[in-house]
Amino acid sequence: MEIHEAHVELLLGRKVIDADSRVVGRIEEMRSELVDGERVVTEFHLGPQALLERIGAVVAQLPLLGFFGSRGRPRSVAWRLMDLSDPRRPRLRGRLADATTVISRSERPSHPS
Amino acid sequence: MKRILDLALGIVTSVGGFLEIGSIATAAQAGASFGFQLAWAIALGTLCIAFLVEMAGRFAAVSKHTIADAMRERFGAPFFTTLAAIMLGVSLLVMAAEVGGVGAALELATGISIPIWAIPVALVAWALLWYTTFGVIENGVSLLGLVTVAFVVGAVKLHPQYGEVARGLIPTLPKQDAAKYWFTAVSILGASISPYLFFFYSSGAIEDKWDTTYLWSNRAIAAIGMGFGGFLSIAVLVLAALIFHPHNIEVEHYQQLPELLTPVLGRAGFWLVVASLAIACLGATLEIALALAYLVAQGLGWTWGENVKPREDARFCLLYTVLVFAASLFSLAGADPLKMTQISMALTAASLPIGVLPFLVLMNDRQYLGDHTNRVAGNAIVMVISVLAGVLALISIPLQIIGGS
Amino acid sequence: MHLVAEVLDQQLCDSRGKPAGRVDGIVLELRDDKPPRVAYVEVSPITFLSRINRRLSRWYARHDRRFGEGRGVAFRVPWTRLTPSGTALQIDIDSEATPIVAVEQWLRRRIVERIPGG
Repeated sequence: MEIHEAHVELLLGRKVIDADSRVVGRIEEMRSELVDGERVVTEFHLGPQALLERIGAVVAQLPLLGFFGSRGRPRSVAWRLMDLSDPRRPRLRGRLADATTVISRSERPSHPS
Repeated sequence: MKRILDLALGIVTSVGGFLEIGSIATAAQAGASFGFQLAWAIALGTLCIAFLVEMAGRFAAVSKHTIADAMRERFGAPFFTTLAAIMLGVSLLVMAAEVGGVGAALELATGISIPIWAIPVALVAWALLWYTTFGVIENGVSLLGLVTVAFVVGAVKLHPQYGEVARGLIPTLPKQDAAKYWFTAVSILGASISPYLFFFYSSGAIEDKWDTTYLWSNRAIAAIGMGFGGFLSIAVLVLAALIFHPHNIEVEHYQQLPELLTPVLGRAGFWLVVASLAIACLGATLEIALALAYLVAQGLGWTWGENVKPREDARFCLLYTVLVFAASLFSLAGADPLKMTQISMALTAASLPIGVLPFLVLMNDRQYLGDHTNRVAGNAIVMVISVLAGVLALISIPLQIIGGS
Repeated sequence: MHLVAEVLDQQLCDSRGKPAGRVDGIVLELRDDKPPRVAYVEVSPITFLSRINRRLSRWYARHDRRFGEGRGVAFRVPWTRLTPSGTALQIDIDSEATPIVAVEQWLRRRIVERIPGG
């Protein structure tokens, strides 16, 4: 059985294209959960710029960023809709509007402290 | 009671450890060339570093992380690498100047030229790092550094017009030599605000096991310690303004530095300058070597610590060893300490926005700091001064190069 | 659990509480019709460097072999051996028994122990 692998650190920041060949965003985060005793990736979070999400809520809350509009807001993609057969070119199975949901502020990640 | 003693020690070591070749040389050059006119640059630089040092201590005490830890964790490996590479490059040049400063002091004392002193100085610095603990370095060398108070004594004895000095604290435009004026201002800012200091302080706070009970001491040490340190720099500027400026003498050779105190204190003045230079620059060499080793070790997840024996943290210790000897190569090759100082201070100023802005992002991060994030004033002051320094550096360095220094 | 914010680049400590490097990479196992499984974390300069420049990483990997058994390739810790613990992530292995500290050990043997008083 061929094991197909992907590296989180190499997926980080990669542009995701949808079925219409539009850029949906860049992979900024992956949410995981324990399912049947295994830890699995449930969602991919995409955003306008990988760096912004990583550098924290402070910068993301600056007034300037409101200009990005719906294209620029962080979006979440369920695992099923992410095609990672070529990890260098992740593709969305579907279109931006149908396949992604906008992430609300309250779902920002927490960091160990 | 112990806390009060610790606080006093912290303030005293901050003062003793404040001056190094960057601050001495730039203050002397500023005083000689422009009288009291550039005192504002020292004041601004001191204000900024006081805030930064307080932030660094607070960050470590509250989050129990060092700044390098947080930079890797928050910004990721590629960003961390770029930042570390820039910090390493610039700070290595500063360290080279400091080793040159110790060499210059030894040459003044013995007549034996600097290149011969390069390796012995590196060996002494290495031995102190290898065989002693953080406390010895932070306290021991800095207490000895109190010899630099001689500059204040000298300046007071010359009875400067304090009103004139105070006027220099207000920024003014230069009447002539504009390129040189701004380049000197930039060098002063680069000498006062050294990014390696916050890697050093946040790591030191972890080495000393600080927690939130230290926050007020931290503020006091930053304000009073750095404040008095700034006074020392201004004292050097005043001395140069009163001794060199009236005769239109520029400070271009380190051999001129003893003349800051010989008119007032005679032969004793000569030895005080030599001792000040040697101790202050040695202290700075140790600090920078540690700061850079902390930066790399923490970012890469190695075992680290001055209070840890070398066999337990081989990579950390070998890294500072390599850095100390690499820094000495410049002096070995005959580089002039004053020239190295000018270049490294200007480059430091140019790199300030890159070093400081990511740090400010961390200082506003609630995940690390909870309720202890920065207030608007702190953010504003540090950001404005750092960006100002960076912009001034980008303008004045090319002008200085074109003008021919 | 957010993999990038909470796992990637975090400090690891071993079963004895000693630093054991940082999470330089996370390996996902991709499966048909099942969500990707978080399989391993990688701790290695090879993985670290691959995030900066692929060629540099490959060059380094060739030289990494000399540091001992298990080096030359990125060291993987199975995800099941990791637990969050305080400010770091703990792995239930003694780091001295893994290639993670091979460079540290090599330098200790070859250089540090030869210096008097170390």
